[in-house]
Amino acid sequence: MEANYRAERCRGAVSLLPRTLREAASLLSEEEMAAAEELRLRSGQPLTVVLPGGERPVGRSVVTPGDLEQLLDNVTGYSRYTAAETVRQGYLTADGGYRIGLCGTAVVDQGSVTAIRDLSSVAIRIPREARGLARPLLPRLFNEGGAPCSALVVSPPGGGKTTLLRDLVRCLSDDAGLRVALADERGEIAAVYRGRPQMAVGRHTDVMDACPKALAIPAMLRSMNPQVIAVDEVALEEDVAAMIRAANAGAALLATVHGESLPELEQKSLFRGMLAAGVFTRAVTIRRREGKRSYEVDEL
Amino acid sequence: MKALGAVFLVGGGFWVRQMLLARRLEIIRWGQALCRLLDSLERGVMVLRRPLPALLDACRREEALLGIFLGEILDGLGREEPFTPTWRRACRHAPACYRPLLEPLGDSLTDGRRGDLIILTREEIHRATEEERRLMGERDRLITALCLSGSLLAVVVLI
Repeated sequence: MEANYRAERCRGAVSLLPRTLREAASLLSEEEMAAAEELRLRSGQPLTVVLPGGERPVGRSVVTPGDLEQLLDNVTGYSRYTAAETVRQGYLTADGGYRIGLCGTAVVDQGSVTAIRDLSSVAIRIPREARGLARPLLPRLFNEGGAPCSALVVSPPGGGKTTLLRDLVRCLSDDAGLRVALADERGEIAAVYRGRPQMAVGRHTDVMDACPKALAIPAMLRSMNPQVIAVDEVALEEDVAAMIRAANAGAALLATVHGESLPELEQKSLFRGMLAAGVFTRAVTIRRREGKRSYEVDEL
Repeated sequence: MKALGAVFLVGGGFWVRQMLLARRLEIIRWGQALCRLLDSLERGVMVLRRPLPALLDACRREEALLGIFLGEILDGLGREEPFTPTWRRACRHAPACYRPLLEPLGDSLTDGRRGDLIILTREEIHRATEEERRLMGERDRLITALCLSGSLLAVVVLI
């Protein structure tokens, strides 16, 4: 069942490709489809698939600039203007929640990128939900009074922070019935496509995507009266400042950060103040041992 | 018999006149329909940011005259063909006087950054349509005179 779901997600990503490449990619075996993490297209090179063991070419046909343009047309439905804001930031979200990273010649005006032209590379990430992943952790994320605690998810890149955060949001929203405001700056958690989340983030979740966290947090605090605010990959001082203000306003926070462990985070000036201020009362550390992930919840 | 022949010839002359005028009138109707189409596209693309195929499909349902033009574009998009050549190919269905005005739009419609070009094209087509309408009155008189005198000449010569 799980393998079927994983392969189906890959087939969804393949369906976004231009016809010739789609035919090549459909030759992938069921096992490869289930294991595929990304599809990568580079102009002048064959299409490749990223598997846990590394990247390998698919078929012999070489990706042309026209293929990359056609892919963009397929994903946006010949309406690139509908995704202009995120394309400027180098990505777009496709129907089904696929996140497409773009590389090409940046058009820069007054110090900021206004467009990307002449695409040279495209990476299609294949996101997969892990429903129920967060459920065993949930009881430890509430205090004795039954109120949700602010929790920080810590893991190195590729550790599964986003997947865990998505399911935590879903569980808090669906199982605990809390109003969750999700600041999905990079569109990776809810993967909103034309106003509709493509990933299960819960019935009581309000999503603001493609907006910097430092702007989204106070905006949602004002407008949506959330009980929990969730954000992915905190990395800027202004994000931390916005989170501290939200915590002072009474909302519980869920956030992810890059890091091996909590002690390592305490070494970083950006997080030291936030941890010292007692914004978070729980830390969830994701560890990977022998290819398997484990989740440790600590009280702070 | 002669009178019947004369009526037939004069009637033929009027029929030719009607045909020629109908062709001119169709050009004017095309111009008006294209202006409405570009109005919808300008609003849908630049303001509402609605998907282009949905906009074109809605216009096809509203503008019967543009059915073949918009149908060819939508068919091409359904076959995953690039937009620009599909648009240019479909422009062949438009009257010759509008083709050079319409074709350049195909290069910029999907990226939605040239709203000014849509407005400019609409103004150019509107101007061409108004010019066509202005000339139609003069042409109407000229065609009527030519058809009537031609058919009367034929009556005199043949009968």
